[in-house]
Amino acid sequence: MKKKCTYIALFAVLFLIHGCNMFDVHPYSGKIDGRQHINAENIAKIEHDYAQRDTIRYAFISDSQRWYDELDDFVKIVNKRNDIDFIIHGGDLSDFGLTKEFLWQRDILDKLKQPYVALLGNHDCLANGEEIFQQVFGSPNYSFIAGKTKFLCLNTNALESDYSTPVPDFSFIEQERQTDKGRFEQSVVVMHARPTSDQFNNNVASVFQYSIKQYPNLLYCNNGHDHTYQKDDIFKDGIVYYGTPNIGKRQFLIFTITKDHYTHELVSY
Amino acid sequence: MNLSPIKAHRSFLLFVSLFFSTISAAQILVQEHGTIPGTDSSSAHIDSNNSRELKKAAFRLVPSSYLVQYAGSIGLFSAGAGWDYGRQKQWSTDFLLGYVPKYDTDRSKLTLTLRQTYTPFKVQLHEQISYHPLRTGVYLNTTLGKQFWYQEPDKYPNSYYSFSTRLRINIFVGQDFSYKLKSNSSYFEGIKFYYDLHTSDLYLVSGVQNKYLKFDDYIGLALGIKLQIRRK
Repeated sequence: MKKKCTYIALFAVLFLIHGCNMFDVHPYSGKIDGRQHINAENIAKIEHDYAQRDTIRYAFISDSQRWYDELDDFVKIVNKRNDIDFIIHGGDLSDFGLTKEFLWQRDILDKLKQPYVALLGNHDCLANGEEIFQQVFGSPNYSFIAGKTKFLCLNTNALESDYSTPVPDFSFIEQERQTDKGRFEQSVVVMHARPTSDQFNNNVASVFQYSIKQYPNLLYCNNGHDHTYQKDDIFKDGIVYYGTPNIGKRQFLIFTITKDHYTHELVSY
Repeated sequence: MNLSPIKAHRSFLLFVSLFFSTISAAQILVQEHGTIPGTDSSSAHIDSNNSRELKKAAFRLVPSSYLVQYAGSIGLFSAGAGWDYGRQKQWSTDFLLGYVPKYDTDRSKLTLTLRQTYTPFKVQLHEQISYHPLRTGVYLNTTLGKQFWYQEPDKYPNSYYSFSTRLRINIFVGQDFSYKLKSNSSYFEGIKFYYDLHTSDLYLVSGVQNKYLKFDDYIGLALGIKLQIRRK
């Protein structure tokens, strides 16, 4: 009888603590609680809300791995402004590929009042990180149209991949050029690691540049990864690569795109 | 590419079966020699010395407990064997095999854990119940699977990622309650319930550098039951 009571008490205690979220199954468990497929959801919002816009303005941040305080402050700053239409995260949300890291970052970014999308960074590929990224945010290659501008978001972390997965994916680039042709007049290419960086497949750097230049009116490119502000015409062809500093520097870029024209601004906070 | 998990499983099964066969062999040895009357004293001196040493060695191999654990960053459930030693049995080394369901990933995972526990204090609450207000120690956990590496593969520039995705170093503090069974001849002599608060190298480095992360973000809770085997 006494034994029975102990068992009942034990189960009661077990049940109670199960309510709190302190049980960690494994750092790479892949146990995802809460919101998933965020990119697709937010892209629908961006494409719907800004379809008729001539001018769009977005914030570009990147490399927020292990900088939770700084990312949280960024969200507060952007939420105070009302001139930002959406936010692009250039990748490296996680530092170690841990499942929890993606969820912690997601929970911060979810406090943004405006829609956001995230790219895959090289750190996000560690261990089973890419699976978690795909589940929480979405596919490593995607595109969306804001106003009259197509944003082509590409996985360029070739060093994390092998020959079986094409990085960058040229067939995707080509296919996206044809999709929704009538809906956009200009293009922007966003990536985590830019050509010439240690992650990029530099054997195809110029081929890559050629293929993205086939896009209608390519304005510029955005990249993260290098943790510093960059403004370089890498191929000396008039296409500038704008790199945003890591969020740990408490800096980000704001781009304003009008018809055939754009401006950018480095913001420190 | 598809073959490698099978290979890993096979070598793992081999390892586990080897482990348990060694244990059971040792156990049989102890039982045989432990129950033969008069081996210690009488006639054949050389023989008895040998068997005593053999018995001693085998005795050390036989685990002094079996345990199961829930959570703890080493699997949803894990099971294994432990060896308690020291004058007050204040030291304990556990070996655990953990199972991680696949959740939202492609495959489930198996992990191996080696844990060293130090339990310095003992409070006797009742004839049968004792309480250890502190248990603390370290455990190393390794995750099986090709995705996880001890050291980054050669394709990366030198020290590109300065950590291992395969090996986690965890620290913990906890408490336990032990219940001693009344019977004098049962296979198990007692049962121990424990809980541990734990964190790993990667969680800790994330937690201490950020105010945003709260205690329960990077500190985990594990629950376990240890069945103490009766030693002769």
